[in-house]
Formats: sequence, C-alpha cells, structure tokens
Amino acid sequence: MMNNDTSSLHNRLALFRAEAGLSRKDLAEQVGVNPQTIGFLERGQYGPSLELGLKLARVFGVPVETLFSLEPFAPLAASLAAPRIMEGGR
Amino acid sequence: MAQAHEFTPPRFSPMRVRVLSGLALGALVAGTFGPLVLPLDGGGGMMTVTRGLGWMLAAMVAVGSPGWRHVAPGELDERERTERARAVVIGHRVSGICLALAFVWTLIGQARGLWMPSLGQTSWLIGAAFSLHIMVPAIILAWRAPVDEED
Repeated sequence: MMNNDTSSLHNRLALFRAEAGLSRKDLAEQVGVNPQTIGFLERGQYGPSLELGLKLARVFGVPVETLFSLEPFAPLAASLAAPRIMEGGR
Repeated sequence: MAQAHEFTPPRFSPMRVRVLSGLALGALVAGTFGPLVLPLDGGGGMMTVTRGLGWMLAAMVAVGSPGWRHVAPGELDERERTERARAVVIGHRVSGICLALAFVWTLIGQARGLWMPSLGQTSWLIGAAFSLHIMVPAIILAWRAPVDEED
C-alpha cells in the first residue's frame, strides 16, 4: 500500500462504511486516525499504510483485498445486476 | 521529585489558520514593505505596531498548527505526518529561495550600487522572513485540509 496523496489504490471504504452504519468519526476511532483521514481515503486522495489497510479490513471482517484493489472495482449496480443477467440468459 | 508539566499546544481549525495567516501576511507586508516603497515613517508607532501584530499572529499560527512546531508522538496519524513532512519541505524551499534572493541582491547591490536596506530595515525584513518561514507549513496544511467535511 502507498502513503502518497495521489494514490492509484481503489477502495470500497465508503460502501462498507455506509453498509455498517458507521460515521467517519466512528470508523476513525476504531482504527486510530483522524476522521479527515477517512475522507481522504474514501476520495482516493491518500493510500494507506499496510497496517492501516489491515485495520480497516478487520473492522469490516473482510480480507484486505475485498476493501482495496489495484484495479478499479466494478460499479455496485453492475455487480448486483450480473447474477440476474446470468439467470436470464439460461 | 516534582513532575514536569508538559505544555500541550492548541490545535487551530484549518479555517482559523487561514484567517490568522492571512491577517499576519497582510500586517507583515504593510508593516515591512509599506515603509520601503511608500513615504511612511517605518520607525513610527503605527508601522511598529503593524509589524508587531504580524509577528504575533505568525507566532500564533506556528504554535496553533502542527506545521513548524514540535509534534508530540501520537499527535498526528500517518496521513497527517506525511502531509506535515511535505509541508515542512516546501517551507524550507521557500525560505531557501528567499535567502538566495537576498544573497544575490547583496552581491549585485554592492557592485552596482543598488538600494540596500538600513540596519533597522534589515531587522524588519529578517523578522518578516522568519515569520513567513514558520507560517508556510501551517498555511499549506490549512489549505489542504477540507474545512467542512460532511460525514
């Protein structure tokens, strides 16, 4: 993971945080950072350290690669629609 | 043995740092460069108070932001440490450029007979340069941070 402000790392942090019903402040407290840092991460303006990435993944109970990726994640709507399209095609 | 009381510096909001540093820069420019380019009494009460106000506001900015001042362990998270380090580097570059320009001016000024500041004016200029030096990292951090980040 990277510690720069022009991170090429993609993440689903906002999605997981919204689903868990956590505010930025709540999440920040759980991983020991400033709430603004969560905002920077969600906007892709900062690439976290490996330690912070692992802490975030632990909060949501998922592997770190579910939360972060070097490749862009597929849009949520496309991911949800994919199984239906597959079923319809059978 | 008496326990030493540790001073905890305040942490100003980005907006407060922006406002204070803007006022400080205004006061420093008016109090330092005003008498150099305008027919004003630089040693007079008004200009002295203006410069003093600029220095005081610059000191407040430097103490109220984790830019130039010492930062306690654990005070900043990893992103803030990274941004602070970059802001301090930029601040050093700005100060280095100011020093280089002043050096070149003195070299050329001696040879060509250009305007040179008096001892009093030199002290104002050095005061302004130092004030700028301690404020630049805080200014960078304040303008980089979102002021009202919605949750």
